[in-house]
Amino acid sequence: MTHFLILQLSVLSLLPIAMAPNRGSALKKVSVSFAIFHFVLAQFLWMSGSDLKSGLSFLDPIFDVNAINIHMIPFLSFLNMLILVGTPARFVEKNMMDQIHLNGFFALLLMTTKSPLLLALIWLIYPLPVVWSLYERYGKKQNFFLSYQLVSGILGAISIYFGHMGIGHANLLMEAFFFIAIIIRIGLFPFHLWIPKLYEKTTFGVALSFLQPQIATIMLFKVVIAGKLPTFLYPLHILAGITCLYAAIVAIRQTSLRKTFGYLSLSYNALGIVGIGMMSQAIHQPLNEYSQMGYVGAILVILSVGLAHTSFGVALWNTEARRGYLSLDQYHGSKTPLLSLVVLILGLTSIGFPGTMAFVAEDLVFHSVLEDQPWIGVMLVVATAINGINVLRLNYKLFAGARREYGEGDLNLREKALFFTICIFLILGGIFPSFMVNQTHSAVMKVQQKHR
Amino acid sequence: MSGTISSIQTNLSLVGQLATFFATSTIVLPAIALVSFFMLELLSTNLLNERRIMRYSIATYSLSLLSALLAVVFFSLSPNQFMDMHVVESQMASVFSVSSYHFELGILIDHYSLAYLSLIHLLCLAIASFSSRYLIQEPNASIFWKLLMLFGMSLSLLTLAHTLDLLFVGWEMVGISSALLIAFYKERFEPVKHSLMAFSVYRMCDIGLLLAIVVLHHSTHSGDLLAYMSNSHADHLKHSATLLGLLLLFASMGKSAQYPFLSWLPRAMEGPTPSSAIFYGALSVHAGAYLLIRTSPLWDSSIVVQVVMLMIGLMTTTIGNLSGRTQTDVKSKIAFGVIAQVGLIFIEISLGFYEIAMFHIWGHAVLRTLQLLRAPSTLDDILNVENKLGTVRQQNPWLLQKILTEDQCRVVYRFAVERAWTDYFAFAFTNQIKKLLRSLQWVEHKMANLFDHGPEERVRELPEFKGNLIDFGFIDEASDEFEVTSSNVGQQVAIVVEQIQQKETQKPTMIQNAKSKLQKKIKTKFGNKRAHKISLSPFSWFKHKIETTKGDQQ
Repeated sequence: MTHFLILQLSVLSLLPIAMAPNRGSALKKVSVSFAIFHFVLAQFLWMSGSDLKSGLSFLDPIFDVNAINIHMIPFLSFLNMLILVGTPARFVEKNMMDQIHLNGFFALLLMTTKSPLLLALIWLIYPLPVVWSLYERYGKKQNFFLSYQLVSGILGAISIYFGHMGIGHANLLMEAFFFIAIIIRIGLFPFHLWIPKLYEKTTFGVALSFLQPQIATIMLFKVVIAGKLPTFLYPLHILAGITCLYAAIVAIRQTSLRKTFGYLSLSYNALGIVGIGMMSQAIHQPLNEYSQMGYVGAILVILSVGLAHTSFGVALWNTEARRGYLSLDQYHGSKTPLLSLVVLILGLTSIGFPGTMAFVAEDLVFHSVLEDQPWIGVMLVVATAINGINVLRLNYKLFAGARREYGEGDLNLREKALFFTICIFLILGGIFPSFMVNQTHSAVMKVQQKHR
Repeated sequence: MSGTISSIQTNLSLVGQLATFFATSTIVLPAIALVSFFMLELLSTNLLNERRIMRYSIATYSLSLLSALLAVVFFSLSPNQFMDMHVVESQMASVFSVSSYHFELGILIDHYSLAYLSLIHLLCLAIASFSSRYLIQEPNASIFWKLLMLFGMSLSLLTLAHTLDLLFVGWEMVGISSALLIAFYKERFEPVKHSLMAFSVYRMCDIGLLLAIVVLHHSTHSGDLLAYMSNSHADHLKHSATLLGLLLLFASMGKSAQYPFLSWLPRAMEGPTPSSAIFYGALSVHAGAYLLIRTSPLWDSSIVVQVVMLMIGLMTTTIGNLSGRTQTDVKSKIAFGVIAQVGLIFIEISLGFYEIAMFHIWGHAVLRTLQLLRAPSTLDDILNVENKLGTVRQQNPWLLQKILTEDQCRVVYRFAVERAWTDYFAFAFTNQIKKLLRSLQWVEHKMANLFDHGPEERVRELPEFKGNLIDFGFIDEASDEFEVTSSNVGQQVAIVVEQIQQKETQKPTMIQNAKSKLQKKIKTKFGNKRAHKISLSPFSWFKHKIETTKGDQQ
């Protein structure tokens, strides 16, 4: 049943590509309808739980649903729906919508597949929708993205097929391959440069749907929890700490809105990796107290910061849709108090401001890391403080200063419904986080026991 | 010991429960008002206009003050809860827990928290009723009221929090609400810059509090303040008292504008007068001192912390007093007065006089609120006094002027007028950071372009400059995007065109300078070929425009 549902979800991701009309409001309506249906089905899967037996035995070697990715599937589906609903009307194009659907499809497969061959193949082709988007804009000259993704794709595919997940045993070479592949695709220092550039060069929606589900992090999680990356986990932990601080610092000087957002994303993706890196102390033994906190924190970072950050990105995209390209070297002025409020709230929720859902996640990561690796912990704390300044600076640059005549309107009904629902959800999730924390904690314990 | 504490918490007497209920109401009431404001605004109903928001706010603060006073009454009637300490602690719920780490919701009432709580709601009510006249028909006044609600709620939370974790939540919310109020006049960029400066200081110093929380959990596996007050963790804290104290001191220095973080406070006076009064004269600026009093059991065994606190207090008081005398506007003068007095409060805390410090906070907050609220009418007040006296008031010379020689006075004056060079050091430090960031950005840019040989990014059109760009030949009317330049150059071109259009009847040399600067930039960016290509169309257009203007003038 569970696997059958995943198959249905996968098909449902692809259907709008075939069925949606080429342009106009009908295109968005069809895409959004499919996305909503996808989310409802994903919710059904989540409620049915991971213990259900597959009704179709031929799917068993392909899909794997465990206690953790059962939570991730509705999350992925929700992110895709959020991006599609939040797409500004003037950017609705058939190809862009298709690229977002494809990103969702690949992300779902990569998360739920256990067949090594399929996993390696999807890892290799996962960036294709973005390549398509860039090709539309720049033709064949898109080296910055291709060069990074080819290296990561090939090394990752080899290591997944022959090493960690596949036919061979994990050895040092395969571990090294996977390590390089993962730090490139996650965008850890010094291989982070393609991420801010991608945000700037391609459509915001496509970049968000490719990067925000943090599929590479989830892939890393799969490998780490199975105890198959012992040698390189500590360097990964350190690199993530450095990236978190470095990206926060570099974001301060950015004058491009999208690059600033890109660096903020980098900083927070790295925070999740630091949490996962806490496993390094407990590879061959049951998780200790702080590893548990780090691990639960890491998953909550993926979920809560991922959601907050995607919403923040969509809000910025809608701001851009009103005003055109936005540079942060000047104040833009505002006549849009609600949009300004939404950007501020979503910005603050994405940096883990107290009282929001991401605060809980960050709190757990900080406590666990500071206990185990105090210097990395201090780096994270400083990075978070700087990111707070970044978010307020971004908000002021966009909405303060002498008023300019952009002829823009404030939030329309669709945007109000979307953004305020998410804001309320993120704030309520911060005030009453126990359900989410308990679910994640028990999922981590279940999966960890299964693998050890 | 912890077992004893929990048994007491569960067996609160009726008066204790009532005290807890009324104290909690001071957090809940503003929270309800704030949520209602947002919901009504979201629903775009006509229920919410400025006058109504104002009335609801005053009503909310009246109720909150009443609750705070009732909490004081019931607390004074409640029996001693724990040994010889007169405290009421109520743990309401566990927000979340993983393994042995718990984040709990609860309040801790003692004479310090109730004194500060009643001060908060008394002054908030006073400010609310003053603002109902002062800010009437001010554009965006509703934002002021909402932020005032957020501030009241956050500060009550900070005051009553029974754990440092919960206190941190209130602490951060106080920070953001005060930063947003400094930037109340968003149209002017100076308040916005100062708001960002204040928020940056807050955030940097908040690192201290966050680290202190983690160190505390590391040492004792608990953040419960009552447990520290009862010395039940004294053994665990023996080794970390100095570190904890220094971290907490660092956190409070930012919020209370102590040396060397004092330069943000005079700048923060850019906000509306009522917000300056309540944040920087009365409550927010004392939050640091309150944090130190609240957490004193954690660090008062460390002589190092006490000495450092004393030194900081002394330096701040000296600088604040001297600088305050050289200020030429009322609000800045009061701001330095505040800094000096909070420095004195720090000295009192370092010497262990917590009750005196609390009295000092009370008196000082009330006095400064009055002074700041009267600040806009100072000239009128002075004229009134002089009118009644019939003479112009003579200023008495400083005591220092009598003691010191003229040269020494000049040195002291320079020291005071430069605010002990705190701004200079702050800017020098910021400039160094900026330099470092510029270098990082340069390296990033070079590295990012290593693999990227594609064309410069296409840039979405800028609606306000679209007309210029069409004239410019960069885009045609049907196009949504233009491909010729990178984002920055494209934008600079558009801005220069606009400047030239505005100044075309003015100095031709300015136009020439702008043109050559732009051409240089384009050349650096694209090389000669591209620069030539670009220069053809736009500059022939400039030339045409300039010639036409000259012809018209002749």
